[in-house]
Amino acid sequence: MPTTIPTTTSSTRPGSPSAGDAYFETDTKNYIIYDGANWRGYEWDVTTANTLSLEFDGNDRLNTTYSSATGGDDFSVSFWMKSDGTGGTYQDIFRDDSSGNYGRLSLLTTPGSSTPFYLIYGTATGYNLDSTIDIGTIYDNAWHHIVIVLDNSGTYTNVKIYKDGNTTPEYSADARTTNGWANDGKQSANSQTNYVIGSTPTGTEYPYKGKLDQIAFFGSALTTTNVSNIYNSGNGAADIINLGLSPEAYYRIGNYLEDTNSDGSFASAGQDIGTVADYSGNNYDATQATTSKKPNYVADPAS
Amino acid sequence: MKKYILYSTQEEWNASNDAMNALFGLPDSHGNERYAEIQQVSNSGHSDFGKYIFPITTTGNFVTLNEFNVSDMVEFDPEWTSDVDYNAA
Repeated sequence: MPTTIPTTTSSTRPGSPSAGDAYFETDTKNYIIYDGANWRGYEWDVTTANTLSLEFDGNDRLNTTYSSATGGDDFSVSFWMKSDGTGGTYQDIFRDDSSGNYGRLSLLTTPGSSTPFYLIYGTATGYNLDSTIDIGTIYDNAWHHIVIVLDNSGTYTNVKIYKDGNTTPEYSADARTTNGWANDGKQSANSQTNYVIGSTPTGTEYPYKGKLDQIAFFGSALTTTNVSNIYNSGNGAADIINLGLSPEAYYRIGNYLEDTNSDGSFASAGQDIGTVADYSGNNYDATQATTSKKPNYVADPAS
Repeated sequence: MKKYILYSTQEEWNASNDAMNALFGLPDSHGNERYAEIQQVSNSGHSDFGKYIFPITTTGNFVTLNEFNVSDMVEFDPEWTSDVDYNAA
């Protein structure tokens, strides 16, 4: 028989509690217990909560239902990746594209290249891209935290790429021809389709081979403080929401009680995905209906 | 990791896919709709150009490795689709 814990808030806690009194605090989401002298808060274990990541075997993809409704705003993507660089020549990490009408931002990679990041985004008249971005070593089969920030506050879209919590970006430039971009077009297009993670939505596929974890899309330009906090000294922020950030979509991967295996049971290592829940609260859950294309959960979290 | 079988005809690919759908009872009540999606070798310069690529799953909940002849299987070839369709402006 489940027990319903009485509720309170952090500003309306009982004034004369007795030892053992317990409440669920609706504003902080904490479970608090009075020990006779002080309130003790139970904080869920963010370390052990992040126990899984997603493995893409070079033919998999995760179809999200996340399609941003507005365009032209700042945009950021934060994710962890682990790859040894094997697999296809071209590999999509995430793709926002419908028949070449590029949306807010897509990331194609070329693992065999010394400049493996290939960014492309939609503009008012087409798209802009740079196919030769170098961010240093990433294909060493170790986890790396990547944050891509598009800041549209200036005349041109400013692009920054942070790696492994370093507050000095690996790449920082206005997206202009003088900086190696195809044109000077500023990001302005809405999302063209639902984001696909790990491959291409339609047509020729460029499947990613490796692991991904903690993938979050933001309708804002993350700051260096945000980047540092998410990286959390390499331990990873198991819950970006707890940092006060508001991602538009957030795939924690292996989110207990929400992510499922393909048979409907709770997510567990070695199993194909059923539903990968959007932890942002916006319900942009992700799935893969084709069984041979399902990524699988692995007990190798990015922290 | 997956293995692959290259079929010369779409009918052969369809037969294998139908058999795997039947094996796993697809579509099922958990949102699993089909075993595979048809894909061809699209690199016109490849010796297997036009063949139909059938994936063989070796891990996870839908393993089909034991359903096919190992001698028919090949490794993934990144040259099956060699041309990137992100076009420089």
